[in-house]
Amino acid sequence: MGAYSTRGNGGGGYSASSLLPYVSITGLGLVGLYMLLTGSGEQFAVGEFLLSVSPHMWSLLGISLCVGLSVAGAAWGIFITGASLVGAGVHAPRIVTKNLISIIFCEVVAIYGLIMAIVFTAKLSNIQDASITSSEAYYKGFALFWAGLTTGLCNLVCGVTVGVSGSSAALADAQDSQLFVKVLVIEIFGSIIGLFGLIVGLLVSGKVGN
Amino acid sequence: MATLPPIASDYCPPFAPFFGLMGVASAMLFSSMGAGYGTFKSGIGIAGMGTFRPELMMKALIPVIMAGIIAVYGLVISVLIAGALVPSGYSLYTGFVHLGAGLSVGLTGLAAGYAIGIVGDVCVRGYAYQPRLFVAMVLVLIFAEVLGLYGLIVGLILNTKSSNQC
Repeated sequence: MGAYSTRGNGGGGYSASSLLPYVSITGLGLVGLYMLLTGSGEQFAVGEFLLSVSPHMWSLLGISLCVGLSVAGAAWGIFITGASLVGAGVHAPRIVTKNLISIIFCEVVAIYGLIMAIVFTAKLSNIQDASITSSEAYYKGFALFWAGLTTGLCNLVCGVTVGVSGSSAALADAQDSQLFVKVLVIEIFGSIIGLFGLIVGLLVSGKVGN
Repeated sequence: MATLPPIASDYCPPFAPFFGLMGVASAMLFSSMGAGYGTFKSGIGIAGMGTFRPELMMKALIPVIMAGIIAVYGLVISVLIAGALVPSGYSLYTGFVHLGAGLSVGLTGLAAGYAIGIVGDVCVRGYAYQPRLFVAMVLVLIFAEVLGLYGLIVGLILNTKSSNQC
């Protein structure tokens, strides 16, 4: 008698979190169909939405995402590397000082985000007259948004990459100390990804002017 | 509140650069994700096989280099598209062309980087046991890399098709 499931739905049901994506997509599809079939499909206007959000909002969202996502990537990399470093250091404490280089590589990713956010902030200007709706103002808003998002997300990816590579370096170093330098090469290849994001962010925001 | 500019009969609306910039971002972002995954996944394999055969580690760095090249593909298209962006006189057609170019490079780079990561990880571990597998490893990695190159080709062809007639 005690071998029956206590969930009460016959043992073939699904949890709420696994159904959520399908339910939400179906719901959005039904809303879209309703709008289309009742003749109000024109209300879904992407261009109007893009222009109705103020350019100030676009640029400031970009700046905050730049530093926020870069720091999130650096933090992610630091906790991945740090956990492996200290774990491997239990039996090989000699590796600790040398492998702090990996942590510094992750920190540099956060510095990239900080520098780019400061560069973008220098390009902000408080436009309060009618020229806020000009093409140049919208272009500046969009450019700072996408430059910040690109830099932030590239640094997020770079932070994770450097973190996992640094973790491998710490574990390899604990086994055999001559391996550290060779695995460090992999970390250097990983950190150039963040540099590429920085370059693209600089290029895009450099066309903005003041 | 200032009125919004008219957009109904405009082939060069003010929101057109949004899509071109989305192309720049997606080219760089998705290929970075692929390159990053390729780098760290094969790095795990390389560090693991290095504890058994440290003398083979230098040749085993090839997957990492190929993953870096995927990021360079994304950078090339991003720089090309970013160079063509202008604040006014930028047509919506050009915006979508640039979005398409960026997405094609980015998503193919993501796929290629993912493949390079998994292939690199498993192949370097096999290479540690059997050094004659080096040629097979390089061949499989080249086929994975060429997937990213296909996206770059399509992106470059699309980029030449942009025209700013308002």
